[in-house]
Amino acid sequence: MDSAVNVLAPQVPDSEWQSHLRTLTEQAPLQPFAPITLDFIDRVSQRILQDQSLRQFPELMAVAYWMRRSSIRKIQQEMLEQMQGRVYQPRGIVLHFAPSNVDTIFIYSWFLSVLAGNSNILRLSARRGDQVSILLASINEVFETEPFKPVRDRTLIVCYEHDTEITQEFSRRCQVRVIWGGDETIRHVRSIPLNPLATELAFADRFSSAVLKSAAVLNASQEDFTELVHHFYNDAFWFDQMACSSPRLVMWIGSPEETIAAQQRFWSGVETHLQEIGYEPLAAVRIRRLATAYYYGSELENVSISEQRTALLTRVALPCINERLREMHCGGGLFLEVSFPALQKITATLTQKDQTLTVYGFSLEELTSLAGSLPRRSVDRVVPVGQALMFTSTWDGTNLLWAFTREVLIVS
Amino acid sequence: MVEDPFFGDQPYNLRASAKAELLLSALNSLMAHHRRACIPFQRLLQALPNVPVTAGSLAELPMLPVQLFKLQTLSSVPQHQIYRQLTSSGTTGQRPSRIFLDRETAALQTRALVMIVKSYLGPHRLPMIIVDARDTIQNRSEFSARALGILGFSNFGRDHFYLLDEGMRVNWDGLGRFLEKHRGQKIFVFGFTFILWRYFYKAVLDEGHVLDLGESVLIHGGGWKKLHDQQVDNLTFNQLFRRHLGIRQIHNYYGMVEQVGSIYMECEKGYLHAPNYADILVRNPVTLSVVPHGERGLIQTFSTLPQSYPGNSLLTEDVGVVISEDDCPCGRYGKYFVIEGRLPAAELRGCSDTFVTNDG
Repeated sequence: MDSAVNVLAPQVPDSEWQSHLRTLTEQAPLQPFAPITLDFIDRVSQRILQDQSLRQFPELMAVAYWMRRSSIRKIQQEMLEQMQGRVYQPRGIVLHFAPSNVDTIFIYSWFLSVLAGNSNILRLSARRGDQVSILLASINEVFETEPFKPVRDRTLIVCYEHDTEITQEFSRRCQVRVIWGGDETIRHVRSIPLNPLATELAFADRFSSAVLKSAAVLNASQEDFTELVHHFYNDAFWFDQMACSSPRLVMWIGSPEETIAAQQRFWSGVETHLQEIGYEPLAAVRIRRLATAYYYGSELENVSISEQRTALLTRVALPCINERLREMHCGGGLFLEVSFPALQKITATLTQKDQTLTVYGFSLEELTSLAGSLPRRSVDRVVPVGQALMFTSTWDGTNLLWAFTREVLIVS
Repeated sequence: MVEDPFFGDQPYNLRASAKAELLLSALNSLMAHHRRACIPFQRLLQALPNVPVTAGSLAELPMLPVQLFKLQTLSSVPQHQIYRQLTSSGTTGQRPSRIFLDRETAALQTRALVMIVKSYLGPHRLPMIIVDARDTIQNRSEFSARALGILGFSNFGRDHFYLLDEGMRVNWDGLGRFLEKHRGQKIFVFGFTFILWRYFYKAVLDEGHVLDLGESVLIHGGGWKKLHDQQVDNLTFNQLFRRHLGIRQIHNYYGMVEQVGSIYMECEKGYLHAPNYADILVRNPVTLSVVPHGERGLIQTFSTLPQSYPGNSLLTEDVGVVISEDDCPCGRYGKYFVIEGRLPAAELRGCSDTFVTNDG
């Protein structure tokens, strides 16, 4: 069992993971937003931002920006306002299961829990990208500098294969268990009992869409349009459209004429941008995209498949959208499109799978009215195009900072 | 059966000039048939831009990515006419391909296979060693590609001997008796590339047996993926089997469950050959445009055999190169080519499952 655990941080030998786990469980919790935790996060952020060679990793940069002291202060301010003088304490030990491939998300989950004052055990996937290796190296360096020993002793980041015994051992000790998706992973981890006092957060597979007002896309100034295209690119392509919050479906709102013209402008803009930045899809991704597009074309009447000239993306115009059609999506530059005459009409198609709507061209009133008529459990985020991947402390409807703390009720 | 220009008395006698036209007109009418008979196929052709009613060249014919057979049920015959359902070995977590055969298509497949293989083995049935276990072919309602291959090729042998037991161990005593009985005769050995390597060749080496199968012919297929992971290519395979098992005549074949029967056999010069009723094109993996001979790309395969499902024009995930057409030193006409591997699997990032492992 010992050799099955690979310790990624802090730097302790794999064989000593259990003794480090003991150290971790023996530590008293820190106070929420303890200065040491703010300093720690800021130090990791600085290390990444100061390294010029890391500029090539936009997602890593996004994480580092989120970790800056000013941004963390904002999170703290918000929390303080919401607390309104009530007393909050950390929950204790939080166990996080990171998703296999939106690989930087563990940082957000972990750091919010650190800010809350908890000790943390993280299980990362064996399939990790370069960005995670870089992050871990930075974290380990910061851990080894003297002032951060308290955070180091409260952290265990590991990787292990599908081992029920190890998950049991961790689950027995934690007060909160956080599972960052895949439905299969959630099913598997949920079959392993938790300490009765513990709570659990699970982030299941979700589906996201862009909702674009055709007239707004058509009438956007060249400058605004270019920005829209760049933002859409970031939302969709950073994780090959595989992040739960990346748009896979584009809902067009407008008259048929407006929509056709807007589509033309929009997709040729996206394609030009893909060419400019030298986007090259993997051949296997491209073939899978083609097969999936053909599935859609063969499944329903009145589908229209269009391959752009450069074959960098595939569009599939659908007459409708349902759960099954959502599930078949494979990512990798495949965009489903459905047109609606008015924004309110989309609510009939939304399901509990729908997570993020990235919107363009709507007023706050229109969006608020939409949010007020959402069907059961559907849609947790409505954000402007460009912010699909922006992490906020509220995710899938849950405020993580609140979930990572407990209120000590004082009645006087 | 209808008189068919593709089925003369041998399978490699059509030159490009004659073949192109015959093949195109046969495929055009097959497309029209499937368009009428297979609703999902009809919908798909309507969804795609620029699908000509009649294609002017092979390159213009619509092609289905082989993965589509994992995603969609594609049949051109009513349920009661389905005689066999074939399934591919899907990798873990994936649905297998499902191919629906009626009697007519099954018969065409058999006929094509017989013509191709007889041109290599000769007209007489040979004593046959099947390098597999007998229970591989037991489930008869649903056929795996492996079971189907064994059954299809069994027609060319007699006195069949299954070399492996249910634990995939070599039955050395049985092999000894079989070789004794057929001493001095030409023997036909058949198996799947990976099974041959893993359970026969490795066993010969590990257990220190000395074998000389002498005048035998080995035919094998099923793909190289698992062997390429171990750095074994066709040339190495042939050399090692010659050296350690004494087999002098070895033919690999390239084929797929989606187009059973019209297989591409490796000639004496080491090239895979398209028979009269099949052809290939090579396409750029990203733009999907056809590339000239000599250039590497994705293999598209054509076959005139499928009547009961729209599998006449398929885009595979195999990477290969067409050497040329009609001028192979072995004397056979038609395109000849080599397969160099498979597209590496797509490792998409995403909030996908942490605990799903890739290796089955």
